[in-house]
Amino acid sequence: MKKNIGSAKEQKILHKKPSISRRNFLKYGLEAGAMVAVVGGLKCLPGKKTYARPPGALEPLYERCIKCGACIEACPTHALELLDLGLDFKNIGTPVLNPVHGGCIAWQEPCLACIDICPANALVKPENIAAEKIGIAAIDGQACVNCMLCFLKCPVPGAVLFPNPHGAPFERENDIPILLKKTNSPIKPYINEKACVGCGLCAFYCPVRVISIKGIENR
Amino acid sequence: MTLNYAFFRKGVGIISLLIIIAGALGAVNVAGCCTLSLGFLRLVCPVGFLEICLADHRVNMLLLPGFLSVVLIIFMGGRFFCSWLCPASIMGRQFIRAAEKLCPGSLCIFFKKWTKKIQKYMPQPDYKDALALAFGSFVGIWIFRYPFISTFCPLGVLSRNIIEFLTHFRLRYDLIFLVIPGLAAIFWIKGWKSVCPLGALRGMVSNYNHTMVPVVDPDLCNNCRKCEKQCPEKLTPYSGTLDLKLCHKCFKCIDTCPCNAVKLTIFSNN
Repeated sequence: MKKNIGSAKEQKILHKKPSISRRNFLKYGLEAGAMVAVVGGLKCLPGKKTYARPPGALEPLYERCIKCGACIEACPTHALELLDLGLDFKNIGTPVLNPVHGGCIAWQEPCLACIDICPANALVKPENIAAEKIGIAAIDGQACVNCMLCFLKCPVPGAVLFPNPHGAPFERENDIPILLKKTNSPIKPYINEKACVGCGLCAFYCPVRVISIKGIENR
Repeated sequence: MTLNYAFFRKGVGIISLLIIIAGALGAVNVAGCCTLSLGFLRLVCPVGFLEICLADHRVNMLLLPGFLSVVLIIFMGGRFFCSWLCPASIMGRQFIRAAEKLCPGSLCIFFKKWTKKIQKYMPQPDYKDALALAFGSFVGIWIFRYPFISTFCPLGVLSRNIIEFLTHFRLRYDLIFLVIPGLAAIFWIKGWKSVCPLGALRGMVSNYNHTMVPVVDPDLCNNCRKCEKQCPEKLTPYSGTLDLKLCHKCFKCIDTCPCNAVKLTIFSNN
């Protein structure tokens, strides 16, 4: 009898070994599955936005960017910043252009320092920088004081326009009659969305901060 | 000041912080703890590289040589990064030391008691759990196509904050992610190290590492087990075997051994 009990115990021990490893396997599988669920859940958070990215950014940038911040260090105008904590989880830490700090000077002079330094090839040198577009500026006409700084600072000809009551809108600041550009005049400059590249220089220099930069889809 | 490994560790930590600050100011081609550009070769954070390759469904050829050389460095030196350079561990140590100095004694003892009680009843994750978590997040990155670990990695958060602070003079809200390693230190004995995906992946490579290993001379050892008490991973060098996938190469065992029985060997075959 005793021998039989002993053999039954041995059998139990023999049967236990695979069950422990199965349990561990289940545990590791559950842990891995939980991580997959967390990754998926954080992507589906309702925080969809568009951003003004540095020039040459591939679409979508968050797939290729390693969030190292090399472009932030390289930017001579400090215009770029790493996106801060927010509901748009997948984009946290990727570079965005913030006109509060500065504007992109790539259309004024050969700069593209961010593209040269990017270690992961997430930013690629565009063939023609004039055709590159990183965003669209928008002027809130109500608060504008007609200082004309946006006209002076804009690197792209014809991106900022001033309405002309008798014909085509003015492209150059010198052409505008002084009577029209008085501070309290109801006529204010506006942005030509086709020509604007979204460099953010007008928004940076605007003394009353009425210009905002909108991003482009999927960037 | 004695010239021991703890002194060198501190020095390496301060020098690497200074290099990161110099990189943020544009003097060196260093971007936080993430990349170090040496001309053509771009040494890159191995997890960052794996993440963008998985998210992009394509191998980033530009970073591949740098990644392979980082893997070679880990193979040659083991997980030395975890104790010599990782700011998470350095900051954790300094934070605990500062908290012990600033808090009134009774509160400190109360806190220690409670963390010990919590740690007793919490399931302690081991190396395999960390690997499972890392591979689970990699599968998630492959499916949902965005880099996930680098968003809250303590190294990444710290280096991004240093860069942002030195360029725009402001701190980021994502410093709140540093709460995760802090909470891990309360719940688990080994703290953040027990679940760090970078550490787990480094362990996979350093498992085959045989160089620069602390080895105990059995003739000199008096079995005091001080090396085990000091070890951050609770390894047992006195028993003659050392789990190299967990060893951080911090050489605390060499520093603490009262009879100088633990010695650093260039090549060991255990």
